Amino acid sequence: MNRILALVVAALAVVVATMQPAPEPPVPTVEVTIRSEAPTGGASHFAHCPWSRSDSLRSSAYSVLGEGPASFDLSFLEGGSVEDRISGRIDSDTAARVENPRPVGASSALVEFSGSMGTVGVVAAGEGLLAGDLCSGRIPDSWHLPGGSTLEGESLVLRLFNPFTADARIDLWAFSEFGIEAGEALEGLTVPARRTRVVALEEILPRRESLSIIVRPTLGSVIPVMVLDTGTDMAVWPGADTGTGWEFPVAGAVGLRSDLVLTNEASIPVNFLIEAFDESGASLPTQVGRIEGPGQARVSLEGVSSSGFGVRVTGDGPFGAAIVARSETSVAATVGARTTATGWLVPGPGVVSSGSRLRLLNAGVTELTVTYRTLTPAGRTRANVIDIPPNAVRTVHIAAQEVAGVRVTSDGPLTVGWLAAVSGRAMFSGAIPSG
Amino acid sequence: MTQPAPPSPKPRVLALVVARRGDEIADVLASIESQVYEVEDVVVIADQRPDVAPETARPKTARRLSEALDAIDGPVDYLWMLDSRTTARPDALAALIDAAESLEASVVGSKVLDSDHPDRLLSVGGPTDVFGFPYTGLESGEIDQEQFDVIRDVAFLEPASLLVRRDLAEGLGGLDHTLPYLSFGLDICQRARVVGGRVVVTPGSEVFSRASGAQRPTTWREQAGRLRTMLKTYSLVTLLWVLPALFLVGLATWLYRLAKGSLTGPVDWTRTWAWNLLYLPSTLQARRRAPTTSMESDAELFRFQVRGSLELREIAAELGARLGAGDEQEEPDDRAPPAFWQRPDVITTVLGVALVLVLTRSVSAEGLPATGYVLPLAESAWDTLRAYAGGWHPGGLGSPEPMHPSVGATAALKLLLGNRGGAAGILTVAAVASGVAGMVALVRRLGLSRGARLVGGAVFVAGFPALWLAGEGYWPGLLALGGLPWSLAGVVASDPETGRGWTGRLARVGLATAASAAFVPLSIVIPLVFGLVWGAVARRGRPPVIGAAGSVLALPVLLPWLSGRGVTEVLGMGAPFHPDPSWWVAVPLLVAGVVATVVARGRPLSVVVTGMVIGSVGLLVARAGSLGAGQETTAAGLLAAAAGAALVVAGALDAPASLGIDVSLLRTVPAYAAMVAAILVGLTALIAAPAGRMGLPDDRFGAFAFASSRAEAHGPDRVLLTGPAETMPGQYRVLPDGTPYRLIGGILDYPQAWLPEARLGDAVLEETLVGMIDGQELRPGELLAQFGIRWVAATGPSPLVDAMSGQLDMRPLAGLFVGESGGVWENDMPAYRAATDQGEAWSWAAPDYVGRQSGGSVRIAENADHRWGPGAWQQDGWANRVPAEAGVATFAGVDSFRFQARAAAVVVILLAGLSLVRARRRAGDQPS
Repeated sequence: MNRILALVVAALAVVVATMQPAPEPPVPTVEVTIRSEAPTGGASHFAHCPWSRSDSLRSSAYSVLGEGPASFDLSFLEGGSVEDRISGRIDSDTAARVENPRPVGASSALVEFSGSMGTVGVVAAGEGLLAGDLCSGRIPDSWHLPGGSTLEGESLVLRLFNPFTADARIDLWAFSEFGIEAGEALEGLTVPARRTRVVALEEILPRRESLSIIVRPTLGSVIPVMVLDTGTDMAVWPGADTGTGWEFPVAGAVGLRSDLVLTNEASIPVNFLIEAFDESGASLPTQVGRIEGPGQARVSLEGVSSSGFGVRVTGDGPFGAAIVARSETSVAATVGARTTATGWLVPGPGVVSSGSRLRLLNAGVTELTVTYRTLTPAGRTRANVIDIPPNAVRTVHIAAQEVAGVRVTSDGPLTVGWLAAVSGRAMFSGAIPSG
Repeated sequence: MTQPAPPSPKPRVLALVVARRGDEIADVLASIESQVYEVEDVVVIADQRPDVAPETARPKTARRLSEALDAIDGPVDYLWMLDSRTTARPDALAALIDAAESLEASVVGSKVLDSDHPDRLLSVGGPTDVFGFPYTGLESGEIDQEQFDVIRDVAFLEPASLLVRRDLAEGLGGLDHTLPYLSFGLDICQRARVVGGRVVVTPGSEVFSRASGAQRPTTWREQAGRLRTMLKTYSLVTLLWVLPALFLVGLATWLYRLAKGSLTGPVDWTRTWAWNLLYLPSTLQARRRAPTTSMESDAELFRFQVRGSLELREIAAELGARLGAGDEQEEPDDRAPPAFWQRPDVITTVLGVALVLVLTRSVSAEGLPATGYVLPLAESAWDTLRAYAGGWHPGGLGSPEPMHPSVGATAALKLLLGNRGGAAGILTVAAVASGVAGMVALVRRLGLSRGARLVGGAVFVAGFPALWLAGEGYWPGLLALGGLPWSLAGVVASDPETGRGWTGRLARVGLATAASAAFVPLSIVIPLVFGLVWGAVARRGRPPVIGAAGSVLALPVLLPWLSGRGVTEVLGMGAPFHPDPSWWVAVPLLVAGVVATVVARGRPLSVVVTGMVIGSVGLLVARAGSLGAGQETTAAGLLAAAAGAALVVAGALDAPASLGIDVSLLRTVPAYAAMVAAILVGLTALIAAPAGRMGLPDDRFGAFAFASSRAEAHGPDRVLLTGPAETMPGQYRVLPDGTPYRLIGGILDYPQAWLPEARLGDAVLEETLVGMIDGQELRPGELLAQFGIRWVAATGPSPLVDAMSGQLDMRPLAGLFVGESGGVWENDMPAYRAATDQGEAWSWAAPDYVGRQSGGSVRIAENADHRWGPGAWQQDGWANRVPAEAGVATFAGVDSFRFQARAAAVVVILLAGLSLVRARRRAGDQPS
């Protein structure tokens, strides 16, 4: 009896024990961190500005806007330490303008917000120079910087800013008209902590008509910016993440020949469709194309419209995009907006002495009523309301020089950018969705 | 008309007496004289002329065979070689001649009987193994009942009486006088076989010799002789594999004999090979003289050899006899009692001690690795006890919650050991040794053999449940092994006759249960469960009562931890274990248990049944994590599984011995199968032997010493640790996204292994870490400084590590790693556990904070509790703020917990005292 009972008890216990699943150990959801799944844009608690330039003939200014009342610290990092630190405060109806205090040369800065999130734009102007764009907020897994070139007489520099405490190591993927570019100089680049590394692409890959870069960190993080110097003007545009759709309110301007450059880091090709919008709201011809995987595609937008226009490009996979516009004397570039929004923060317009033009793109099918409010450091605001018909862009001239930023609100989704031109030089810049 | 064939001439025989130094040869000469078959002559082969009685005619002598043949007149057909100690029946030679002639044998041997007991057999020839070791097939003192009276071909003959054809003897190159007695006979037989000669034994020829003992073949001279014979007779191909095999067999043999207490084994083994090295030239010379050595001749030798090694077989048989001896009492016999070191108890003890030393040698020599819960004991045992008795729990951001009982127990034991370093290692070795001894005592009381006791003890401390606990780094589980079997042994012990005896016994059961429960609290129920099962199996009523009494008496040792946590919470707290034994452990264990349950009888059956029930239920509890069981519950389940496995193995080992001689093969064979399965399980206990640290993983946390080396003058502040769960020391917390993390207060020690329930500060910390992971914090150092976190260390991949790649105020310490990957970051901001209003840091001198006296207050970065002082306490967010003028900040303590801890200590002392009192009475009862 003992035998049978023991065997039954033991058999039951062992069978039940065998059927018990192992308790799930705690496994962090590493893949769902904010860095790879960050919102497509928007204000943040910090902004990284890898480029500004000042010397006796040129000056730069940082335009600082906040979602709400906030204080900010602007730190200039050089040689592994903070060389200058400027603190300030903004509230809902003000925007700050901070002149670059660094005496000579290019510098990198970090802006930290507390109280609320904000955004920063940089504009540098002076002899042979009108350039600027947004500072980067969040950090994606890889950065796309399409649209460069290293033709004779041109300088193309990639600035890699590492404001953090750990060294970073990155690989560069380069695409040109020759296809994928390879070279030891593009792999395993170390960017020391709290320093900026400058990669002179015209030396590594000279005489490329179209050169796009993808920055892929293998260790740590960096914030890149592309600086194109044609000799008569400079263009600066930040790195951006990929998206399946981009809108460029500022895609072209009178006197400039624009190219839309697209990059694809995936191994499968991406098919895209380009739609253009101008002031008239008329239906403009669309273009389709394909970005090889991995690779780049350059699409000329010349002749799309005789006036200023914007474009929307959509693809069947994620890709990076930038607009580069040229004339005989000027060059301008910017990245687009990955999302539409009903509120926008536009840092920078007004910094340029001759005034700037705010460009608003309504790619939707309903008319929008848009309010734009100019913000100054002194708190003097001025609000204006305009209507934007569907499938059209509107350009607003911002003439007041004290304007450090513009807050745009709308009753429907749109995208916003701005451009400026001075003495034959030009610049394009983007804006940050708000709210 | 044909002429009849002339009768063949009668074979002529020369008697050769092979004299051994100092032997009297008169008897052998007399028996030659008395032979009915007349010899031609007698020659004594000796180095010097032997002594003979004056009345005896002095025989011819010669140094070698050739000289002997020259010394006689005329040719002879056969040589009858007799050992000088041999006497022969008168018809012995005639029988040899008859067999040689009729069978055309080249070598014929006689049946050898004991000259002191003429009815006892000494040798009838026989096979050998490939190494020449003789197999007589005789029991010691076996009576001659003519059971071997058949003429047989054999591989080996004792040279007491050999008839060898003369031409063969001459052709072989004579006799090898360098060889001892047995090898001398083997040499002749092997060489005769190699040349195609037939070697037989004829029992009709009886001679007498003196018994030389069973150990004779194992003497180094005989071993050396056998080796020389092999070198002379085997082909080169055979020698290529035989010699290495012989080397290994010899090694194994002397190791075994060494374990038995014979220190001469290694010496003999060395002498054997050295002697052959010395005589190698003459061996090679003899080999060259041999007519042939080839694969064919080897094959002829192999025909009469047994497979394998007879020496190893004997050892196996000896071991089997030892393991299979089922009775406590040895059978009385007329043999001399064994020496002290040969007594089974002594051997068992020596093997047990050796087992413990082998399993824990690294722990003894190098100390414990820091891994899992294996953490250094706190520097001050007394201060730890202060904190344990209602003081401040140092885990995480601190708590007034009581600490785990093992913290108090280890601190108390360290205090008893003089508060010296190395106490953790000593406790571990002692627990393992106590576990082995306890299981041996338990199995002894259950009536099983010594082998079963020892193997049971090994399986208990190094079987898969214990190794699982060790592999998980669950050190308290190993410590609990020391007490548990003693409490079970107390449950099954025979009932005392007096009340005093009962008091002592219950005290011992309670004390042993407490010694286990202090480390794995829920193991407190195991004696009760064991008592119930054993009581049911053995049909006894007292074991459940004694088990219950042990559990109840040990209960106070869990205070104040149990009252602070509550039973329900204890059952489910902590990350559960989930043992998953390998098939090569599980299958033999199941086979041993099931088969022994089916076929065994008596005590082995009861033990196996009890082990099966306890072990299987233990396994179920140990794997019940998905049913809500927590760490404590599953650890107790593993302990029960360890005890169950040990009992199953012990019972299965004795299963064959439990069967009588009247049992059919159908039952005997499975019983032996169960025994073999149990041995296999026992062998798995040796898995932990190579590393010598009881299966504990490699040291993981030694790198945390950086906190001390990089500390400021006030001492190390906190480390925020993150990484995979299995790499974290002790318990850990988990962020909402599943990221494990925990705080370490400077120097990592055992009291911090256990984390109290999360309080306000822990919630704020969690919120901060979530913000860091979300990428919202560019200056985590500033945020972590308020918690006194000076370092962030990663033992492996973690979202927090990713967050650290993009921040501004925590500097990576290049080249410093505390895990296979990850890294360490140091806070650029001042990060103090306690700091005054002026920003001056105070030191953590567990369980207090001390610093320079000053005005104002000091912020204590511990979870807010109003009992911090001295002076007016203020809550500062989640932390504390107390006046700094005293220069010290202390936690006043929780009175109820302090009382409970003291009560527990009193109960333990009382139990220990009662046990000791009884032991002294017993000693006094012994006759002087």
